Amino acid sequence: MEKDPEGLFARLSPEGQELSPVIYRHLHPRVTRATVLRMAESRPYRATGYVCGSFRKPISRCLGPDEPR
Amino acid sequence: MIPEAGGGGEPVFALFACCIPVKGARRSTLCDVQRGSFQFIPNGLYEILTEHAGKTAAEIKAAYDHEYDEEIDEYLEFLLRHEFGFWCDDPAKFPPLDLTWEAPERITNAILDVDARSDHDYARILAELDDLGCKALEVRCFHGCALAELRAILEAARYGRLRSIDLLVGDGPELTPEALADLAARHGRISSVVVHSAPEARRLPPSRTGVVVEYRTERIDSPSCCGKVHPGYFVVELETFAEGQRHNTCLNRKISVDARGEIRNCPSMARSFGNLRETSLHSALAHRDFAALWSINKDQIDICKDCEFRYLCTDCRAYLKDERDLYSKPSKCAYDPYTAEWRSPAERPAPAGIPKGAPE
Repeated sequence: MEKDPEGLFARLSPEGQELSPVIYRHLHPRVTRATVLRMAESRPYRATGYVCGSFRKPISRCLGPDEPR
Repeated sequence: MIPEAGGGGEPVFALFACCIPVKGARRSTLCDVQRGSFQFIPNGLYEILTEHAGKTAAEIKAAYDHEYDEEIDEYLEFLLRHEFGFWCDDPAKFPPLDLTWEAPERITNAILDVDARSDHDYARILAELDDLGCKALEVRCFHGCALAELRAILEAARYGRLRSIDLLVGDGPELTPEALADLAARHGRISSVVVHSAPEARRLPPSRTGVVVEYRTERIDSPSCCGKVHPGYFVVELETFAEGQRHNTCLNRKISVDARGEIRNCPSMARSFGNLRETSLHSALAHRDFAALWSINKDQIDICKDCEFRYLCTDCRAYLKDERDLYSKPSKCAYDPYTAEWRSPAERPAPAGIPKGAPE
């Protein structure tokens, strides 16, 4: 299989290209925009691994829904 | 639009592995743990995505005797439009995510309660949390807090392993936006600051540190204010989703010290595992019963097990509908999964969470 049959890397934004590399897979002859986006977005996950990521859930839950301002 | 076959047979629709459907009693959610969002989907679409996964569009339509052909096309179009999935020739090459949850830390998160009568030894508490590998701390000050007190806590954490500190503090004359922004700039571990009991609600724009400082009028004067369940507290991300498969997403790997120094699973729980004056966090954690509630997951909790939000919601085991039943629904949850309604309009998910064109 070719590494980058659709020129996907070239279609990523400059920021996307600087993220750590991933192996591209040729998902389907008609590569959708979604496929390209997903691959770009999955790069940080692949780089860090979710277990080592920062803490994202609330530790306590004392506050009500957002107050009107 | 269903694409043409790519050489082999007819293509099949596959969800991206990060888009995970969760069935509820009346409706389902499609949780995108990569983008951190969810969309409501009807249970019919859930069935297509799970029971008919790996089938071609024609096979799915045939499975329903062509009674819902139009709806099935709409569903697939909806999934493509919202980038939940893609057409592929060989779905076996795209396995689901492994949702096994593991963490190297003995404790991942902690709560430290402080009031006007507290006399905590912050250096000792923070050192013990460090030993346990704790990476996230929430400090809740129920009284009008002085900056010096906050600084004392933060200084104790300065050279530790904590990755984030959330501050929930009572309003006081010293807690000006400038002072809090300065505090956040000096202590990079601060991830959020909420000032409660403020005269007016306001959220300051994030400073260059990225820390959000928010003033709220709500009065948070005891642990009994905790345990609220509403969409503002939903977490759509892989770690919590995976943890929720087998663990309690509130209490798992949590330890807390209440305002009097009692060590508990959370400050709202009745049971104490000793006071810090007489024991250590290590000793409390070693107690046979300390981790007993860690494994109560949402699939075991009455009513929650039928809720489409069950892996996004972080539960509460302190305030229960039925206090005698460990597996009872959180009493502060106002959502009924059997009618898909929130008791109060303020608790409904924001309209942005509901997609335009979502299938009915």
